[in-house]
Amino acid sequence: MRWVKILLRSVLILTVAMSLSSCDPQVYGSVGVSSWGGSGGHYGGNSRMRGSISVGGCMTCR
Amino acid sequence: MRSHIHKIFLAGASALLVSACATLSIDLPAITDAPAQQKVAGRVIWHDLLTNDIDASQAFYGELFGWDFEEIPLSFGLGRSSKYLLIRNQGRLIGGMIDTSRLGDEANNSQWISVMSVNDVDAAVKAVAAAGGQIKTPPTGLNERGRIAVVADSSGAVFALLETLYGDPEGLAARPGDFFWDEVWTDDIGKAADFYTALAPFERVSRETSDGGYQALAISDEPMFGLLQDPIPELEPTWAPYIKVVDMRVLERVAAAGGVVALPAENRSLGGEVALILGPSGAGVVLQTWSEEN
Repeated sequence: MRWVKILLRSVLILTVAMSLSSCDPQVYGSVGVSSWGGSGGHYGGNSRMRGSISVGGCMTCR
Repeated sequence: MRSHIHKIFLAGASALLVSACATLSIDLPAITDAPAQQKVAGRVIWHDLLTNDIDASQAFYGELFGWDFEEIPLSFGLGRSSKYLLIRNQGRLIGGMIDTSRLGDEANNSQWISVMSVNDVDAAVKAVAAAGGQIKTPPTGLNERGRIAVVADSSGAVFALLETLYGDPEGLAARPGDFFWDEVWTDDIGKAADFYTALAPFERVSRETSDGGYQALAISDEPMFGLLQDPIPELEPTWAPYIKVVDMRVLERVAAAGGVVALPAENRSLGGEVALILGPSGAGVVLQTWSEEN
């Protein structure tokens, strides 16, 4: 009988903890790994990139 | 008696759960200093930097652009907290920085998030899903800031949708240090244009240049952001914000401030110069010169 109570209490505590984590309000927690450089990023390490953005940029800026 | 104590214990635990959840809300100020009367759905109205090194990022951007910062503590309950910085350029609110190192995610997700205005974030999220995008974070209340959702377009480029509570910032002329343009660097411009025109009444506009064409999406003839085909092979599709600078001498200070010049300055087809830099956490942002003669 005692182990049933311990089990029930453990389940209750676990449920509370899981419920609290599920209502965690952080907005940007699910963005995922950035494709930008930087330590730990996809392209690990800050380094120069290849490419050109000369076509882009503001078109009719104020 | 034991049964009675057990019931009290259960009731207490339930009350704790409810009250804890009730206090786990994010409270961020509005993105305008005073209530504004306007909203332009489809305009990029804010930028948030996700950084795993907020102190280094603050020092970096403060040194390069003279930005000022105002700290907003964030508490998530259960002893978890983070830090949010409001960014001001010459007194004007332009964006925010959030410390992601305390959010429990060891992966480096450092990047600038472009935040687009929407009239109804619930409807916008449905439109994202219907157009083939992903919902990263469903609509979430931020109190005075309004309601935000984080999504990815059909190619995976992440951005956010914000339904402001007190209106959007005015579309003022950009000063040095202001954000003044955004682009989607994508693997399929046509597909991207289809996706975004499902979110807001964008018109497609293009400019012929000596080295090809350039496309943008506009509302009421005002270009809101550009679409660029795979400019950097290493990068997955992404949004790229632009900051206005006076000249490219700023690049000489990037390394000493803790960043990297990822693409050196080059002349633009449409005038001015552009360069790509990475901040201390690896988040990329484009610098562009612009004058009235352009």
